[in-house]
Amino acid sequence: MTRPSRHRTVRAVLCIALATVSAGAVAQTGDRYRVKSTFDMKGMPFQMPAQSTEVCTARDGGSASMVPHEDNCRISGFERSGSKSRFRMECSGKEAMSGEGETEQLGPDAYRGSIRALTQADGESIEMTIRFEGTRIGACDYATESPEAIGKAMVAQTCESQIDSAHAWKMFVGDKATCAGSRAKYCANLVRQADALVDPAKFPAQEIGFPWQGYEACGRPRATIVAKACNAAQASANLDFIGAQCPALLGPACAAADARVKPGFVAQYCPEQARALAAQQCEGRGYTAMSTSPYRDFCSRQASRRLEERNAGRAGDEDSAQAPADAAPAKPSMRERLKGLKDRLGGG
Amino acid sequence: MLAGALFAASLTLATGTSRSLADPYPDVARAYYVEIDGEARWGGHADDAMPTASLTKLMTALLIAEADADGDVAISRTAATETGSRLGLVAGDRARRGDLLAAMLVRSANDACRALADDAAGTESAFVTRMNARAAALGLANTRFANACGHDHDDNRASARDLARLTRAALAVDAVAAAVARSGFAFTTRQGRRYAMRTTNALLGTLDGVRGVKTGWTPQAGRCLVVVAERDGVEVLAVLLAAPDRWWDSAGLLELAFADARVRH
Repeated sequence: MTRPSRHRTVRAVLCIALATVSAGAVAQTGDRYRVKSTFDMKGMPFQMPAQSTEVCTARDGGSASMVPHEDNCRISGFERSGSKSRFRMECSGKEAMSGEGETEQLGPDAYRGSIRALTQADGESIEMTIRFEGTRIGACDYATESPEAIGKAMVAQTCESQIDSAHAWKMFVGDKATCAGSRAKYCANLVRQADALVDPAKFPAQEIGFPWQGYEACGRPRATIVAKACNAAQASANLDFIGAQCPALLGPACAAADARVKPGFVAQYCPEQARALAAQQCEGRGYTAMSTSPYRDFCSRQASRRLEERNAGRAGDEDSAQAPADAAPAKPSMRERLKGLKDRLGGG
Repeated sequence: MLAGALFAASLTLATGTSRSLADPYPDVARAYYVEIDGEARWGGHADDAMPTASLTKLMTALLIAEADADGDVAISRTAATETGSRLGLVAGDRARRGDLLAAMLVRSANDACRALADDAAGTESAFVTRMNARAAALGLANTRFANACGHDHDDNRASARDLARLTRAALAVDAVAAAVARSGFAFTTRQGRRYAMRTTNALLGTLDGVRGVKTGWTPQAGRCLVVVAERDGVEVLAVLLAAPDRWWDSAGLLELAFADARVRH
């Protein structure tokens, strides 16, 4: 085992997570100990300095929290017999190790213990021993400072921070939901949000990535929300929304739509009306004649549709596009000749 | 002759290295190019050197406006006898340079254009030398000018993509940007002649968001157009060279470009 990797292991074992201690009044259900740890590793030529930390243990005389350990280590099988206890420790990650340990209560204000563990370094199995001694320095609230309590508090905090987020629905709904206990509150929030979405003005403009699944998990599927939003759009004659989201309402909406007022809607969503109107108001007319027409915006949009239809299936990259005809153009139509004459008279 | 041959060779090389663009509307013009917010979007033959007709005047306008738009210009005899689109300026009359610049851009007036070029460089050929130098400075590899105002000439050509770049340079000059946005213009010469005109750009004031720019037509070039429009913070620039149905198709192309921008954003 090389010196740097030994040092890493030593640091990992001795760097003990500090419990957060409230300085205020506490329910005295536990004892606070200052724990000093020392570390021995076979073959290590020097002694690491002792490390010190504080732990909060159960008042009844022992718990896994008596054992100083890092976050990546798990204490299991903690069994007490008289003043002694035994346990196992497993550490995962880069500095994985496993071993067994014991503690002994030395009186009301002190305990000691040790852990013998094996780790792997550079293909070698390395044996190490950690010894620790705890001295009582006061009382603590084991109900809030135990590892289990801290873990629960962290989960509760995380759940609370996501209580309004439709993206986080898997945390609240389903068999493996971490925050299943908050499901009712979560879904009440999401239902409230979903009920607001039925206002077309608040409906998501961009649906890609929108967390519809969250609302569905709480009983508000997208189809239900869209149906209500469509009803609202119909009541307020919001044609843009109807065009984008409500195909079932397009028929009556198109029949009632005025292309002079909503040119984009008619051109985009009402093909039959648009074709008929374009024949009446746009086709065969010079663009310059449209400047005073109330249908000029509609006709411009219709021009884009005509351009697309004309070029349908002809899209390609520049290299494959047909070369321009250099030959003399076909005999111009009367319309073309009139246009040419107009160009000559008008210039530019 | 030699210069023409060299130019043709350089155009062949430049065209051979053209960048490929999506070409969804190949029948809109012999060559076209569309930018959305300064980014190339569609094009057909966008790097082919084509006759540009009065779009040439964008370079003339850029040079005149960059130099000095103030002061008076004497109307030269050659200017007064210009053909094509013209105001009917009279030789010997004088006009403000800014007025002639606006007339050249609003009405595509060849007599105003030639008067400005003659005044700026002494002769049209000297002015054309400046135009080509400026084109080279702008990196317009597929552009060559043979006259100041866009008359048909085998060596008066530019690509649609180059014209887009030239347009951006020209619009960066306030006097040019203001003139191309006018739907009408009137001015009086020093001898009291009054000229009033309407824009040749049918999209100005008709199609939502259009800010100008320039039209062109000659028998060789066909109907040409550079247009810039802005809606909801999105800017579209389109160049059409030899566009059979210039107005309807450019209007359609702009609508499609704005719709495309909405989908992509």
